[in-house]
This record gives sequence, C-alpha cells and structure tokens, in this order.
Amino acid sequence: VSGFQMGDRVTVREATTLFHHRTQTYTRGRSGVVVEHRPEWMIPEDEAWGREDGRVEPSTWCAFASAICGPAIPGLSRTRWRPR
Amino acid sequence: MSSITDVDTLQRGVIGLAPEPAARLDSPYSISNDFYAALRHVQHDVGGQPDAPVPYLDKEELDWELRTYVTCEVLAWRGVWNAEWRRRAENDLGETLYYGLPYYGRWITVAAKTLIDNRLISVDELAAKIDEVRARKEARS
Repeated sequence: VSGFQMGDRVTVREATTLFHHRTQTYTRGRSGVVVEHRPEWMIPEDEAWGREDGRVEPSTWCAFASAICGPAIPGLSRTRWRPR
Repeated sequence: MSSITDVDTLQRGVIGLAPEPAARLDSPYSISNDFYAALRHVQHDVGGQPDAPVPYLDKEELDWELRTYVTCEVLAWRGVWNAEWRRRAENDLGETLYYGLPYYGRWITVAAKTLIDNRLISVDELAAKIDEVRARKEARS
C-alpha cells in the first residue's frame, strides 16, 4: 500500500536514470497532489529487462497544475499534457 | 547480391539521413555531466518539447501491422519479453531508426533483434527465412 494519502502534496524525485525509465522530464522536481491509488506493479526500470526479481512498487497518480509544468510551446498557456 | 551501384545508392541514402549537426559529435575525450544527462535522454520522453501541430489521420491498420501486433503479443505470451521490454528495445534502436521506421516497423524490428539477442534464433536463420519469404512472394507475383 502506498505511504501517500489522497491529497498529499508530493514532489517527483530527480533520480539518476542510466537507461530506461518512464518519468517524464517535465515532471521531475515538480510538485503535485495525490489523486488516485493504483495497484502495485514492477517499475519500468526493472521490467524493461524482464527481471523476475524486479522492484514492485505501489503506483500513485498525481495531478500537477499545468502552469507548474510550464507551457510546452512558447505562447501557449497550457501544456498538451493535462492532469487526470 | 549487391552491386557497386547498389552500395553507392545506399551510401547516398545514409548520408541523406544525417541531420544538420548543431555540434559535431566525434567521440570526445571528455564530456560534462550535463551533456551526459542530455545524451541519456530516452526517445519516448517527448512531453513538453516544442512541436508543430500534426494532422489527425483516421488510419486503419494494415494486415502486416496487425500480424506484427499479434506476433509481438504471442512472444510476450510465450515469455520472450513484455511490453516494457519492447519499448526499451525500441529506444535502444537509436534516434535515427526510432523516428525513421513506421510505428509497427519498430515493433517487428525489435522483435527480431530480441529473438537474436536471446539466442532463440540466429542471424543466419532469420536471413534464410527472409529470403524464403521473399522468394515465395516473388513466385506468386
């Protein structure tokens, strides 16, 4: 079970990734709010090599204010990505 | 069998793929940490990058695309890989192949590479099968 509660304010870690990952660059270091819990699954950093002993972690969905992530294109007020 | 002319044509095609370099990369003796971080960027992480609008096309899957999809799913069912492994393998193709190939072209290319990487088939066996299928298609037409 995730240690985070709904509504908790969280910040995406800028952890070192040497190879495969699915933590979008534009979310790294940004803060958001926990809005949904999802089941545990193996994290991409391990699953991408088919490891049977890969790290399984609870998944948490976070909402970010698009203004925090900044406009993807200069002149546009929103990114193309929107919080769920 | 490739002729000299074919090699020249291929060489010109490859030269034509090269983008206009912002800075020529030629295996430098040392690089900064920031530069190394930029080099490690994974191709699929495109969110937030500047881009122009693209037209939305209501495209139907072609037969070879559906067969590719099923082939890759069956490989997963038989324990060869999983979807995340496939995505990683697509990134590992490098930017030129990643963006140059059609979507399902990427899938079938990494399926072949993964089968070879895992020593489930050999390069010779794959080449022989490609020749066999090509000969069969040419005989039909």
